[in-house]
Amino acid sequence: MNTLIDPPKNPITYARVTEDVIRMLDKPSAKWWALFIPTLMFVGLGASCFIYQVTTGLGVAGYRHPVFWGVYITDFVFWVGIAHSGTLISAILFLFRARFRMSIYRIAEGMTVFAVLTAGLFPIIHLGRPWNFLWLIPYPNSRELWVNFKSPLVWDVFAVTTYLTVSSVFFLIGMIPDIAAVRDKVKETPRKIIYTILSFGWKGSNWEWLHYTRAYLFFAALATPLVLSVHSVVSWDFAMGNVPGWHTTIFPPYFVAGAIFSGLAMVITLTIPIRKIFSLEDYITLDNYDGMSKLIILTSCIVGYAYGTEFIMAWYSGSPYEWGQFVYRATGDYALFYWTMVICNCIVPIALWFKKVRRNIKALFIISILINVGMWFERFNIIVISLSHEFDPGAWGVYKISFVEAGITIGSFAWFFMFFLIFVKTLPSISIAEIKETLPVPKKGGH
Amino acid sequence: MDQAVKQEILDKRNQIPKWVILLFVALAVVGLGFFAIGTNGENKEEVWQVYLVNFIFWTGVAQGGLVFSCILRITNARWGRSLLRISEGFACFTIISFVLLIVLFIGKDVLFPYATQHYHHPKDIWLNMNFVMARNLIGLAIIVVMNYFYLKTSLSQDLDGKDKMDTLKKLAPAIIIVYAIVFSFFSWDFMMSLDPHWFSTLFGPYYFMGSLVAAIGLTIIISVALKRYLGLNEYLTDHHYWDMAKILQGLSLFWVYAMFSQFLPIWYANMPEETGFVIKRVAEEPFKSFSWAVLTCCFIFPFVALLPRTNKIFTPIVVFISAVSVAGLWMDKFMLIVPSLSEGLSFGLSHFLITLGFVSAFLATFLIFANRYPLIPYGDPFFEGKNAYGGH
Repeated sequence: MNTLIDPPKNPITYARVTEDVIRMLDKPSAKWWALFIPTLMFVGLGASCFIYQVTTGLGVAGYRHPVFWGVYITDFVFWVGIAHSGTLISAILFLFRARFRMSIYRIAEGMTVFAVLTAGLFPIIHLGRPWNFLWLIPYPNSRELWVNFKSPLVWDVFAVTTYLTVSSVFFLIGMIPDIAAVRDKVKETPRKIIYTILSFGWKGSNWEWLHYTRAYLFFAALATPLVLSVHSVVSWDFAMGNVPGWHTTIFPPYFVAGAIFSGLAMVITLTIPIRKIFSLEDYITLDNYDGMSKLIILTSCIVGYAYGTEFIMAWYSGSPYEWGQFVYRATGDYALFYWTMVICNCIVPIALWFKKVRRNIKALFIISILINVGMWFERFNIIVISLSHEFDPGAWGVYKISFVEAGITIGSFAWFFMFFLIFVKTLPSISIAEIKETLPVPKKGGH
Repeated sequence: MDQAVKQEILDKRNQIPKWVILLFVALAVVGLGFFAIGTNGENKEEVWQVYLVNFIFWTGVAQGGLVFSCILRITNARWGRSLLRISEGFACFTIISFVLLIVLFIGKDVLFPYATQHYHHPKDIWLNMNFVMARNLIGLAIIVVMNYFYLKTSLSQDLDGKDKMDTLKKLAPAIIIVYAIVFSFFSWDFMMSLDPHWFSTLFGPYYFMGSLVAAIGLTIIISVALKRYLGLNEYLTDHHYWDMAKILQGLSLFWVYAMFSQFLPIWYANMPEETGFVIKRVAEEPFKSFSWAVLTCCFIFPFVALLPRTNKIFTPIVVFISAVSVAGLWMDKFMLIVPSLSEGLSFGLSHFLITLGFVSAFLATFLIFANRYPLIPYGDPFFEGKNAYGGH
């Protein structure tokens, strides 16, 4: 009978789990700084590009007629998408009692919070006067400004902020027992105070666990619809508009599946180096990767189904604009981007049907990066190609990415990794409590 | 494998009374008779429409049941092992569906607007009647063949005692992919194209996911009946219904999501070529009230009623909620098909008897299957015996 957890080589005991996880929080090594400093430099690059754009004007952002939603909106959708797998793994797989989530869910949740923090920057960067972003929030003011609730862009503000709130709360609540464990081990004053606050006085009594597990279940159930709702609302930013290639009913589930697809790929991309650097092979096992790969296959099939359906329907509809749009995607100025997307999202994941590939760390790492590339281009294709090739042939045009946009995009990746590197060193990135639940009860004298 | 368990389950087969099977066969024949008479009568359009609604619904449910079994196998779900055979038994009906599909094409001139009218390019290619018949017949034939191999392998685990997990786990994803493709074609050709100028990209998933919901609802209903009359209490416990009810509740939420995902962009854009389909169903009587009934039965009622734990576990309540949900999904198919073809809404004896005929044919095929083969997959490596509950 195949089990979901590999038998460990040297047995994991309760004590070892705590030690292994807390060891990750030791003083940063030279290697960590070697990663962190370049990351900061790239954040600086992105920030400089942004300052340049603000002082010069949005003209430097490569916007030109007819495309005024470009790389920033692509980045926004990309990062919101990355944020999806966190809640999927921590909430939905929790409800489905899928065991392979145990060792990776904390990393995925952290990734979710940081990805939303990254995504949230882009609508602001995209604004001509970014300091006025507060006007998106409906609050009584002397200027009698009021947001337009009929606009999907405003729905987006609410969807994303709700998601950020719930995923942060879920992230912090899920960590309480682990932070308490760290608090008990840590000696230095500043850290001790921070962990004491974050552990909310957790003692680990039966009574506390009783309420805690109940509350966690409720949180998971409440967070689950959010996984569907956030990216559905993002997809409606496009589907509500009467633009060929945008206005289609399959967008919500297609975007959600795509988001989970890219999010899982990002979890794989991030956990592979962490697993290697901190020697976590006993915790993040090949079975975890096997499970995630299977979910990637599923979501890849859904995304592939959506590509195919959109194409067939555009043809079947008999609308010259719809069909023209899809022919242009596959054969026009952006054909290279289109085929990159198809190859990375539909063809490359076919390799995962083979068990050997699912259990080969190097292959997984490459595939996961290719999927992320493919998913970035998917968003680019949907947004930019549709706008380049609308109804009137006289108004068609080609968009080119400017160096400012490229700089800010690179900066956003650095910004995300910066948070992630800080997270790995400050908070327990593997759930101590849940790993212990899966272990056999220790014999006397085992710790 | 526990020999006592094996013997007990094999003995259960003979406890299904023959007269029940005969009764259902007889009712199916009555339904068929009324259908045959109706096709020559005054209301032949209506008769064909009801036939189409039932064909779409019951074929979807039959294959949805097998797909549920495939999902349980792929996910290594131990919890639902004892329900697996019941839901995969539904798939026997797909053989009858194949015959029914051929019969459906006899009525093509009455039923499908595109069979008699000509449309501009490219619809003249896609809606060419020969192409429509060919792709759907071939698709369903592939499904029947795959079902046969899947069921044969699954049953051989019990009857021959061989471990065929690997074969089944290879077949299962293939069946799900073929299901998604072929049933998308069904939904486009037999529902969406009845209004030949309307299209919606989510229509395929809306149909095949809806069929999966109905199959799960029907699995609950039939398994409770079998549990009661064959004494399967030790195999189908409260835990099973608790989880099945959760899935039903979750999928009813998915159904409304798929419905709303289509409704909102169409309503918001309000473009004449799209919105006519929706207006006819949600803004104009007689279909308006019916649409609210569909929404209530498919989503509002099951979702709210399944919130308390008691309602998930206490079988009479679960069965009632599932029945409402299944009925709602049947009405949903009715609402997708009939308003495209007729202006009014009418229910007559023929509607009732043809539908009854389909229900009976479905149950009769299932009971003939149950009469022959073990209903609990005792040979499955993940099956853990009496009162077992895998937990995940």
